[in-house]
Amino acid sequence: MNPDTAVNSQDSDIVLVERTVAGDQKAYGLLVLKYQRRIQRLIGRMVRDVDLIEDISQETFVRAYRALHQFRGDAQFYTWLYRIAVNTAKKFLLELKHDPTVSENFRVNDEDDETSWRKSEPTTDEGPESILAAKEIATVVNAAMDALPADLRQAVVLREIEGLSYEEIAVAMNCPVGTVRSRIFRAREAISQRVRPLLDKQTGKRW
Amino acid sequence: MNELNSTSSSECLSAFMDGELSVNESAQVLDRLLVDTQAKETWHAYQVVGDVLRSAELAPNQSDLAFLEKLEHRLSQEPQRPVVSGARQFPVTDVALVLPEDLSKPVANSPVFRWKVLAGVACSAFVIVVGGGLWSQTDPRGGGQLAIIKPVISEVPVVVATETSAGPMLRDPRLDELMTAHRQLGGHSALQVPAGFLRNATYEGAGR
Amino acid sequence: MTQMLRKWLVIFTAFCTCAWQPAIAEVPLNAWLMRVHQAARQSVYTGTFVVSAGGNMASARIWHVCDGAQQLERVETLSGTPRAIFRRNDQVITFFPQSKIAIAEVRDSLGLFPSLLKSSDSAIGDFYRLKALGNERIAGFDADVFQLVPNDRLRYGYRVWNEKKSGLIIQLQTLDLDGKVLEQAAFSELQLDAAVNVGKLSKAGNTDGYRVLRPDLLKTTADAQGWMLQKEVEGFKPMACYQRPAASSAAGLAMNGHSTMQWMFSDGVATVSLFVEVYDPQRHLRESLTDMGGATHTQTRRIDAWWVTVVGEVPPATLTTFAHALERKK
Repeated sequence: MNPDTAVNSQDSDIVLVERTVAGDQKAYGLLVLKYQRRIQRLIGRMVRDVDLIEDISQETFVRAYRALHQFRGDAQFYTWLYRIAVNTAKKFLLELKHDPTVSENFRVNDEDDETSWRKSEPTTDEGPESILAAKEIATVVNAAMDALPADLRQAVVLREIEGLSYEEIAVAMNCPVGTVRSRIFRAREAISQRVRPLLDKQTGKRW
Repeated sequence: MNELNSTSSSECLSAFMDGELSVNESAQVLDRLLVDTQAKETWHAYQVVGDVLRSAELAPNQSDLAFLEKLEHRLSQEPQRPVVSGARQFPVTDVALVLPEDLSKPVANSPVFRWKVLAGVACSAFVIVVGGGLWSQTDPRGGGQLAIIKPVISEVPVVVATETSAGPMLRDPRLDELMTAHRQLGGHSALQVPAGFLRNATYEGAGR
Repeated sequence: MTQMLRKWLVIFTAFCTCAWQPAIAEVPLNAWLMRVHQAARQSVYTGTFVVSAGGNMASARIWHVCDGAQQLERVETLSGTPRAIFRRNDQVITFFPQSKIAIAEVRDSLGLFPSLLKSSDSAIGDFYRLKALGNERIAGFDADVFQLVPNDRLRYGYRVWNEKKSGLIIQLQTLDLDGKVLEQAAFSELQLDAAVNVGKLSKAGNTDGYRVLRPDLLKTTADAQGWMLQKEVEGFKPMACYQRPAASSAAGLAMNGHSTMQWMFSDGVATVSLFVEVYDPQRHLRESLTDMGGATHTQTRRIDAWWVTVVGEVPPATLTTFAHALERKK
């Protein structure tokens, strides 16, 4: 995603931040639904204990919420949130220095990025069912992508993975922007049809 | 864009996610998103799909909803924040908590998503590997190889490794053949000599 | 959108400044390219070359000498399948010591430069601009650092380290559209003006004991093969077109068993190949966009009774544009 182009998903983040800061806390919930998995994975690379991962992740979102009015719109929201997550984790870990469940090999410094850390997964305090549940979701997304018509798949790949704007995808696929928008939507819809039942199943919670 | 049917409204939601709506349209979508449970569920599902496409590791292994509920409970106990009215009130005096530019792209930085053809389909196992191909520039000679040029280059040139890990990578021999042919014959580049040619000569065998 | 033709007058030892007004920190591109190219031809060097792309690394030992009018070069891989490549100007022999097979071929593209640059069609400067970034010490040499910045998002950028005195490229990075390094090719260790034994190096081209194969390659035109681009991809010009017949005699070479057309494009720096073969539902399973790590991407697409594979060191969207622009002549 190019910060130069006017259109990128930062816009929806900004809109949500503005709405939250204007008084609607529910808008924040949408941001949480978007970023919680990434934040949890990030923390999971520093910390082994599953409960601790959740605590730190929760604390991250609380601190971000408190500081939201300080967020400068000229940088990406995730960058800002990421920094808060790292600082929150550091603080926790300092306090838990002698806790044996905390991983020893983490390197947490300013230059770190989530992709540079060790690849080891959190320890198995989470039951095998939840690991399976995650695998199932990944498998289902795989299968759904396989089943998509090529044009839809290509459009959603260029958007979600390559981060191109609709305009850029339209040029690349030699079709109107409206078609790009429709293809991406139909791809998302087709894949989420298969994913939704699994999400519902996870704790039996329903929207 | 109207709310007449859920398909068109989901399509608007999809466009909103991508930042492709106008200010007014965005506001309308957001209004609906905040009150309509089904719309929120769609938002969640679409976000999960996007995450999983970028990395299988991001598939939720427990209820995202439960997490959110717990958080909302916690937030309800926070002291009321002063309401900042109007659009984009970002005070100039605040400390900018920003990382260098190159870390601000979660999409591009996510580990490669291995998306394999399901077993049983055809003899030439064809793996589609999509995602950023960043690599590490950790320099044993010590600190920022590009340190001298820092003032000139606008971004901090720290690039981090994304290993081709997370599962075995099945290569398509035919694709390999074509890539080799491309490198061998396609060297119509001003940078061909020596770098391009040497690069192709050196790299051809990698991964075989 | 029509391309503006610009006449470049490039002379070996000087460049014509009247045709171009340098901006701050911008450098006349063609002159720089000429220098870089000359350095590669005329320098004598030996060293270890390392390529890193997408988490993979490969390395090789290099010897290069310029013996009068001819260039001799030997590359011995240190990783992957053992290979040694011997080059005399544009003739290349690749030796596989394990199977005792040697593949001999002529690589047209190696002879193209500098005529590519001298031609009036050369418009590399329309699509890239060159910026001087400063200098740095690398592999034991003082180097000038430059950045080749693309003018649009159809191509990647590059950062280049030139050895100060000769202009030889010591390191080359390919940068993605956000400026992040996709891959790097560099000398980890280099000796310039090393005493390279020319006689010994020449002997490296000796194929005794090897079975020599020559690839079956017919030079042709896309037009003759019945193909055209419905719309030019900005900056990329067609360079050459080859047809490989189905029954290829060279084991271990590409196109074994499948007749394939390879249509090559370049904008002067980046290259793209369009491979076209007959569609086979058994083998051609799915259209896709792939990223093998590094700067090279591939995309496949079916067009009626044909299967197209596009390969290039360009952003994926550019490949998609090519794939959708290719069509059968009417």
